[in-house]
Amino acid sequence: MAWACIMPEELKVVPRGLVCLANLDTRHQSVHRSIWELLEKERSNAPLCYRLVDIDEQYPHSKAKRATYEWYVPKGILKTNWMHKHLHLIPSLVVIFFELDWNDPLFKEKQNELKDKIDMVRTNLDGRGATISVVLLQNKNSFPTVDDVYSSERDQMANTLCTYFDIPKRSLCVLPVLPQPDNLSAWIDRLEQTFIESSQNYYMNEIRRVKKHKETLNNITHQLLHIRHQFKVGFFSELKQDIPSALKAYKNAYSYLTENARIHDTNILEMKMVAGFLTYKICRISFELSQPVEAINHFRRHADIFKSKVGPVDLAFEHKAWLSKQFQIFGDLFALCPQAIQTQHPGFYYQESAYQSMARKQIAQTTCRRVEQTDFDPSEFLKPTEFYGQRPWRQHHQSMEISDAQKEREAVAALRDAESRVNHSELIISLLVLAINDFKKHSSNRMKLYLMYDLAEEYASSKDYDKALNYYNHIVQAYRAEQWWPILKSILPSALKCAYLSANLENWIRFSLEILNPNINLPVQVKTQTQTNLENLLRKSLPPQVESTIPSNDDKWKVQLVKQTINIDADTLKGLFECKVYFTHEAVSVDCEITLQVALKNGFPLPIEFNQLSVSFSLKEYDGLVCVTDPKQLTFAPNEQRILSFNFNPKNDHIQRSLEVAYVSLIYGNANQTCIDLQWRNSLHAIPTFQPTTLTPKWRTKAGHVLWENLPMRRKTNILMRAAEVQLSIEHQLPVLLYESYPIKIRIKNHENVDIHNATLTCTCSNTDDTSQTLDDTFLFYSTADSNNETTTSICSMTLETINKDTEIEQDLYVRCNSNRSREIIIRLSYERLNLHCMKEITVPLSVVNPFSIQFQTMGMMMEPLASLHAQEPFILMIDTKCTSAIPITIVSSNLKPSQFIVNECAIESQINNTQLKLDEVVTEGFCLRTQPIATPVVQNLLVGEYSLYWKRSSHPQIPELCTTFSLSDFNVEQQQIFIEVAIPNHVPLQEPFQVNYRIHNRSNIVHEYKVNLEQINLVVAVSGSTLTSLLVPPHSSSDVNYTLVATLCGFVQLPKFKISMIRPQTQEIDESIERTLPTHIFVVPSLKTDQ
Amino acid sequence: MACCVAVLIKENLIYLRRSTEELKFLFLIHASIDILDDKVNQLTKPGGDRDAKDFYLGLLYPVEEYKIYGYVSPTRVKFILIFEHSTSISLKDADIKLLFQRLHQAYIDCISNPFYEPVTQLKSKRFEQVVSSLMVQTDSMASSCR
Repeated sequence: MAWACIMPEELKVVPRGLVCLANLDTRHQSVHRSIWELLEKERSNAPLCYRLVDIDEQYPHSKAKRATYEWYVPKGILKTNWMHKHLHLIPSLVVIFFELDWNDPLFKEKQNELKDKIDMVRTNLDGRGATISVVLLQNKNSFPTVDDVYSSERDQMANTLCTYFDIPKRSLCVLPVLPQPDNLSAWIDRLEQTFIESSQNYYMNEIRRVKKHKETLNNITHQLLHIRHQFKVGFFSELKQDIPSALKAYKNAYSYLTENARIHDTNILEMKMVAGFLTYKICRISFELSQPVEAINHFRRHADIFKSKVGPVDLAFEHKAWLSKQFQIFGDLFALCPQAIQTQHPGFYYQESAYQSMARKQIAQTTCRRVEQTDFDPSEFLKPTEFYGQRPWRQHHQSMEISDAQKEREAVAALRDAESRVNHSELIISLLVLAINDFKKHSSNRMKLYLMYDLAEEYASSKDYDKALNYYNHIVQAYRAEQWWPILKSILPSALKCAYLSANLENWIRFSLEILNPNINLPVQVKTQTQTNLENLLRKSLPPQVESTIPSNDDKWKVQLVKQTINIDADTLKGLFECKVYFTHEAVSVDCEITLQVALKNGFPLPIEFNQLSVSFSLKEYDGLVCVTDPKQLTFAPNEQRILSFNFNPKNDHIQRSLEVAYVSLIYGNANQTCIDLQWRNSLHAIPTFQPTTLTPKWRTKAGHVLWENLPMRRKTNILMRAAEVQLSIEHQLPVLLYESYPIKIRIKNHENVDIHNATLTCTCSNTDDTSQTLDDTFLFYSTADSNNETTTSICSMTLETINKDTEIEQDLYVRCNSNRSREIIIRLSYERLNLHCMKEITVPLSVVNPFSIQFQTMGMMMEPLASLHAQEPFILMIDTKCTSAIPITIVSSNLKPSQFIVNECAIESQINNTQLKLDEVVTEGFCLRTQPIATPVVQNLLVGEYSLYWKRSSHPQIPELCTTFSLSDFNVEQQQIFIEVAIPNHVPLQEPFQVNYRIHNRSNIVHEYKVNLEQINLVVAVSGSTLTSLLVPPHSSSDVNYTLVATLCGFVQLPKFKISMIRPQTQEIDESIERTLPTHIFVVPSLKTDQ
Repeated sequence: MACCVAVLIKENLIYLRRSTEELKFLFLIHASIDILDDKVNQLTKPGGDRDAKDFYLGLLYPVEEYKIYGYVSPTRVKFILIFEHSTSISLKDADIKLLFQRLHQAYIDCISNPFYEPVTQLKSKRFEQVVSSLMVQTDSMASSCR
């Protein structure tokens, strides 16, 4: 089909203006060679194409240009040699290189030599418009410096030379590169610019010349010329690197061709071909200009216009071939464009190209026949032509009628003969492969499958069954995975046929099983035949029976039937035969039996008998325990489902391990011959699917019949230690109080049917809080006698000799916590029974709180709060104890031990013995104390003493009490200058005189003189005698002032106010606060009844 | 004339009606899942222009003989209509969108049936009627345009 699918190379290259380089001796002169290499080197978007020519190169002759086309009838659109001529033969510029220095001694001779060469070239160009340029290669030392570039002398010489050579001035260039060039590439770049200018000039003139013809053309006889001229303009524009004009010209030519030109059967091939060329050019330029949408739209239009223009019916295959080629070419062009997307990429065009080729193949197969004996020469009809797309047997024929019908018939026969020799499959396959690659690239995997199906069919039709099978395998798997049964239904019979023809046993079995799947909606007899074939193959070693249309392949099959096992991944069978495994228990204790149920559901259309069912486990020791070979259990009617149950014992070494079903294997066929091993692996994993549960229950279930979907799956069971048949319970009352011996009562009840001997009860503390690593703040002991034993630790263990059957024993456990964090106690009972280790364990979480808090404060003798203690003066220490836990506690006693700095005013004895405190209750006791003299005026952080509390939780009186000791420190003591001690009765009778003694202590080192006055406030308490006096007190001693008073009123009455002020030394003042230490009131009782 | 109507959930074909028993339709519908999925992903991409009402996805991909149009419901049920290339030239996007909306409505009516089990084949006389009308009506539309 070369004549219709031709895509000339000249069309595909990017046209570049041709420049011929003459007189360049690249072989012997290194400088010449470097010039050539620099010009010729690979560049993207190089503007020009260079060619080395001899000076006497002959250029194609120019035809005589006709002045008018009036009587001219064109013979065709585009000559086959035209593009080649303009790309490779006719230069736009001839450059003559010549070594000539301005100051060359032989300047004249060389000048003449050059002139001869120029003339020779000019003659050979024979009227072609190409420019001639001269490049003088000069010594770089003789090249003028910047100052005298325009030296008139040289200018003059150059002008003279140009005139002498008859070339324009800008065609003369000078290249100072001898003997060795510096920075040659820069020179060459500049040189090339002048070349480009000349070359483009030439092509512009050509374009003008062609365009000039247009006025002389008419639309009736010169249609072909219109197209030809526009094409030429486009091509010259490309050579000129004027891409937009080229595109415009090509588009003009195309629209003229499709809209104005007459297309009929005799010229349709020529029209289609030229249209194809134009489309190629338009699309390629559009893609290069990054306008893929433009290209696609043009091509779509092109395809739509010409799809229906079949041309002569006898040569319909030719049309399909041409169409296929169009799509393929467009695909090739598109492939170079990076802007392809998922819905628009070359794959679609390759796909369509492949389909057109398939159509061509079909037409060819029905209409084309080899011509064996002919009375004509078929090659005569396949000769190259002068114009593209013309028929070799009637070139230049422009009429709509066919003059020689006989010749035409022969020609058709010859073309059909040629067509029948074409290997269409190869073509189609290569196109499909291209398309598949593109679809893969654009993540259209499903479309890829479609094409793979086409590919498989094509391979099968070209009898390449192995390759076809490869693809069939892939697509069958993919469609099965998506459960597109209707497609599978159509594919599978041909896949099976293919497997049969290639005698591929494994694939044949696989496809047979696929066909038997109940989801595949094939006729019953097909399915029955398939299963019968399968059974005959496995049971009787008979090759499968096939339709009579398929060539028998029995010989190859007989060789296949040897002893072998074909593994089939049964997970993929989906509905043909299903399997579910179910361990009845999630965990099994080691002394019990494991029960495994294997449920099987048959979907084969005919009854089927399997040979063996076995289950493999993750622990190899259990393999073989579950195995059935009984044919009765392994025979299934259609749609029958059956549950097989297996029991076996776990092994002692597998305690704490899990047993998993690895796979289920079902063997069909005799193990000595070919047999199938169906294996279920992944489908045994019960995957939580998101399948919507049906709202409507399935009513149509028979009683006692379990729906397959409702059968449970569990492929994993855990083997456990034997469970201890004892009841372990505890009784305790949270929270734990800090430091106490917290009692926990453990009760153990024996539920075994025998006595338990030598059971071990172990209690340990586990830190719930990992940050604190102090292990020694928890102590566990079984009796309070051990509570302060040094051996107690955070673990304790004991052996219980005998626990009688059905009895309960109790054991106390005490926990002492020395910090506040929460913790857990693990209580574990373990023993041996039937040589099996049994264990029971409970965990007790503990939270620890403070039982109480202590607060203390100091007061003066008048109960006034003291910020600091006064040396040698008495004070009262008040201690508050507050219960802070929900647990009631009992304070057994308390004890205050004064330090050496303190003396007690009175005997210290506990005032809060046996007091019970509930939450937030406070108990207070007070002690009267006096500080010892101090050495310095102020002492800080004085230790007053230690306060100990003896307490226990109220609920457990038998537990020994605990002693918690607080240190009473952080008191400040000051030395006061003066201290007044008052001796006054507690109460006095009415109207009886009583004595009040004020003893004034001077604690300073100097003599003090005071003025003392007892100020009468009212007459309720009257003072007898003088009230005002002065008093002299030596250092570190005291003086007394005595007053006699009489109370005249009963009750708590105010005393006269005692005032003291300093007389000597005058500088010192007495602190006002001293008045607060003095009593202000006295209690007056009625006078005793006298005998009167 | 719509020559093929299909409804899919994920990649499961739950309804198919074609004018001829051609395998090609199945392949084309199956292949268009790729494009539909991709378009839906682009549509619902975070930050994308998400207009929940407009799930008409237009022409899916170029095939020579047919035009394949797609539509996705808000719950990602895919509807596909295939037209023969020659008859569909007169059809505008708006017309096709209308057809899809009718199909979608019919689908909603159909699955509102409490006895319909989700993701199974659609079997409903009413739905069949609507599909038939789609296949016929477009035919008459095209012929009246001629």
